[in-house]
Amino acid sequence: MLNQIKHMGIMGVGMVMGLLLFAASANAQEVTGNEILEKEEVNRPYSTIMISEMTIIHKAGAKRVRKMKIWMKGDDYILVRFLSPSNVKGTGFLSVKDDDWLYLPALRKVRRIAGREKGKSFMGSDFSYEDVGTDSLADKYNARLLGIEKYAERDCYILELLPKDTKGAIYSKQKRWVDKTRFNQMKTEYYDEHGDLLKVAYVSEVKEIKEFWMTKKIEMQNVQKGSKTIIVEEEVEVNPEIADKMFNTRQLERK
Amino acid sequence: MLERLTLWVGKYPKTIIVAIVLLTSFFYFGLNKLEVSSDVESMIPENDPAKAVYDQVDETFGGAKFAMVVMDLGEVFSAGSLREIDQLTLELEKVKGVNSVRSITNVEEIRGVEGGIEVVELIGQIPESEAELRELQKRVLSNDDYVGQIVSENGRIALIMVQILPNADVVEVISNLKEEVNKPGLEHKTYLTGEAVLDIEMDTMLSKDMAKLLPLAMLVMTGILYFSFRNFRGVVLPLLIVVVTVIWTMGLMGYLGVPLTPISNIMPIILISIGIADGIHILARYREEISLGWDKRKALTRTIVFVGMACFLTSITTMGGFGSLGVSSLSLIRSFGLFTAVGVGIALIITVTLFLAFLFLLRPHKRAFIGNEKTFLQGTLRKWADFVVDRAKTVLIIAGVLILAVGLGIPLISAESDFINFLPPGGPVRSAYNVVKDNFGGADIIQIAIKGNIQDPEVLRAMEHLQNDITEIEILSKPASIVNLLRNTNQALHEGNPEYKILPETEEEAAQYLLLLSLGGSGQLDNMLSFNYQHALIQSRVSTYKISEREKMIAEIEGAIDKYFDDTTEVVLTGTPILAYRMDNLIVKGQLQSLVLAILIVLMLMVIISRSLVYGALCAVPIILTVILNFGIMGWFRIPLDVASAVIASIVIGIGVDYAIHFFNRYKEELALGKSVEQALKITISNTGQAIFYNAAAVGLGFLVLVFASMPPMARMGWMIALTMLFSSMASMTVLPALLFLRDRYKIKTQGGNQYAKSN
Repeated sequence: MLNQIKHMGIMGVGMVMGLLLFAASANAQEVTGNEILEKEEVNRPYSTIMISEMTIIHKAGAKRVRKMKIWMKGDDYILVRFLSPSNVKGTGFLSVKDDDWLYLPALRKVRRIAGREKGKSFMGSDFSYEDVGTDSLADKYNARLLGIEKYAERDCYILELLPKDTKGAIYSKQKRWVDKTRFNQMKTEYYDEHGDLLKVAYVSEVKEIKEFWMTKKIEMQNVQKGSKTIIVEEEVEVNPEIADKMFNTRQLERK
Repeated sequence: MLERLTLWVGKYPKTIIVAIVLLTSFFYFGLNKLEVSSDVESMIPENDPAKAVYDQVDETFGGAKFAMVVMDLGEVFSAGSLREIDQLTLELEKVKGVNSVRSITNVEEIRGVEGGIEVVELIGQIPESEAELRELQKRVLSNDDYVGQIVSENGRIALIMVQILPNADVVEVISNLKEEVNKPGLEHKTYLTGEAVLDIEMDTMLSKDMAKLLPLAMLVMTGILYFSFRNFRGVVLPLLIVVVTVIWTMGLMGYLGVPLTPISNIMPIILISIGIADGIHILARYREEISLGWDKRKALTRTIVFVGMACFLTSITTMGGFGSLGVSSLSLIRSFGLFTAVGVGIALIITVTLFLAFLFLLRPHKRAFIGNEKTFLQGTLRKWADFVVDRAKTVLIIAGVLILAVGLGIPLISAESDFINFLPPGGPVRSAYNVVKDNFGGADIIQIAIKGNIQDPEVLRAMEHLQNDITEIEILSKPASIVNLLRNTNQALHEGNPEYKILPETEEEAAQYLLLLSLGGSGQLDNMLSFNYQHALIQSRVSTYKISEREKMIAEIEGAIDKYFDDTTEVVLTGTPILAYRMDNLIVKGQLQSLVLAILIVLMLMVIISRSLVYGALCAVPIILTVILNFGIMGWFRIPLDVASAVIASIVIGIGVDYAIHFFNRYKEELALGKSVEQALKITISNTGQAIFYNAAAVGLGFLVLVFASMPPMARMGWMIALTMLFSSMASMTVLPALLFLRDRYKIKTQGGNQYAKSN
């Protein structure tokens, strides 16, 4: 509950700020990079339910497609249920704060799993856990506004994100294109520890659902490995009521 | 034609010199474009199945090439040692071109815990207390996923595996890794090894050797030339030929984009030794003519007309010998053979232009050493000539017995070759290799690529059977694959119960375990299983470079593959050890083909030159005997037929035949002048014999310089070629005249001379 209030508070502040910005019209000089980043985070719904299709395409062209239903609430609750391919159908994944559980239908058992790390690949895809996670970017990165540029026919702020704590950071730098009026991510470049370009994320479809600009299709290209991952969100429900008890291990075992 | 050429050079000597200087500077700039290539894999023909799968494995699994770092710590399980490993692991991960690094401090473990499973690093926080360290030691040393893989059985040595990205510049990566490993601050002995490292090490050694040996070869040539001619010009002019030849040849390679390979490294030394020969023959004959009282112009013309043809023909046969390497399926042998052949041609051109032009410009030297009646060499050759001609049959019997004795060694030749012997014993690279071999079962990784539905329990079980068979092969280390990972996962999911250390029974189970592993983003998985679950890899290390043992291993693995897998699954054995084996095979086989081709080319040329089947065959006798001797020596001295020794025979044929040609050329010339067979042979032995002697000494001693090479096979090549040159030149001055004498003594009385004889 506390989270919700906190979140709404930020949202409120953000909305006020947004209005102020709007009033100041195109005078971009007055807004800072960090403010834009925070604003982008405010533009996320508190909870979502969606069906997500993830396609990983290897350099050589081979594909792996997985479909899953995802329930998300606040910063801490995620439930994933795999729908396809058939040999993993019913497999469930639950994450509450820092604890993760997995349900394997073949064993009919729930197992707590440990060892997930932010920098690691998310299910073998080109996204890392940090890329898909719900953690706040503004907490980890200092953003600097580099300028405004048209990207995909939209006016975008270009932000440069540098990690506040370089030691635990998985990227040395990010360059992020954020839609100037909708405040959603349009494109992001990720740089590795050598400062070389590692990955680029492109948002190719967005949809406004209940005043939230949701990403419908995002593609992550790993320029070093030559692979890419496409995530398409289907049947997105924004801010549905999800009870907390949805996010427990008993629920995980249910088909 | 030769006369016209000589007159032309005599007419415009300065223009020719300027033109050659300009062309030389043009080729000199080509040297800058010369690239060095030492990537062994790239030299294997693309259509080789092991190569194709290797490339595929390289792409699919993020690198099929590994380097290994060995840390001799005395005690791995101490806080200090572990920190050192951890630090080096992190540093190695940062090296550009490195895909992954695996060591005891970052390896992941799947652990079954109460109600859960952990996919965590084996060592999270480095333990400080003695009790914790001993507990860790016990845990690690009792697990055969780690023992002999990343920690030695005695717990003293740690191994770090470094996977190199598919398209990385291996030379650069290895040199950067080396820098990390040799960084001061590391307290313990740390070495870098692995097949990629050995390859590069060998290249570096070869280049270093050549940088050292090339000046030495030049020095030796200077000595021989001074000994032969005793004056400044006699030394400088022939050396000029070879220097210009090397610049042109290498410059041409640069412009054509043909890279320098480990083998072509020795090209300059070969060109120096061979390129000098024509100069020696021409200079010697020129002096002989001058001493006979001819003026400069006339003497030079006579020299070129008489010796020029022999020089032309010997260059052609030498080119034929090297050119025969052009049939090799390996690009590195091919370009070495073809460009050395081109270099020999260039040397001939330079000799008849630049060299000749200088002779025209310079005044003939008064004290002509060769041709001087009183030399010791000529005196000896005269006695020799008498002996050979007077006792032709005895000479042939002695030669026959000698050849038979040496030739009996041929069946003793083994095709065994041990690549590790290419490295000097006692060197750091070889000792690192031995440490890995003794403690981790080898530094080379074989890969078995499996293509099919890997999640199918049938396929997994077949992999397990194959792995069990591989474990039985003595030269292979315990194999690792997704099978091990799935068994461990199964055990972990059943609270660590050892009874469950078995493969999952259904496809669903396997698929869900893999999903579990991929949730953790386990890097280990990527090295064993392609992300679409269609390709899996079994990896094991080989502890020997011995060809025969590798051959047996390959046969056993391929037998097991046929036994356990059906047609729906494609299983191919690959990896650098397999590629090296294939390459070795290709070289040796290709060499034998080249050898036959070289003999045929030489025989054909001899027939054309002598315009007679019989004389052609007789002239080929010395070189055929030399080849028999070459292989006989290999047998008696237990020199295996390997990459290095197989190349020798073709080189020997191309160069060694020259002496017989020079000999026969002069013999014919003397007969044409109306001399009797006996006289003609004696004159030839005592006059051309000197040039042959100096020529053979130049080539032989030039190659002998290679005995100072650090790589044993190179050194061997040096003395073997020197020895065969000695033998070939001796045979040309004993066996050949004896044979010619026996054939011609009654047939040829006196014939009319040619135009030069008449104009005398």
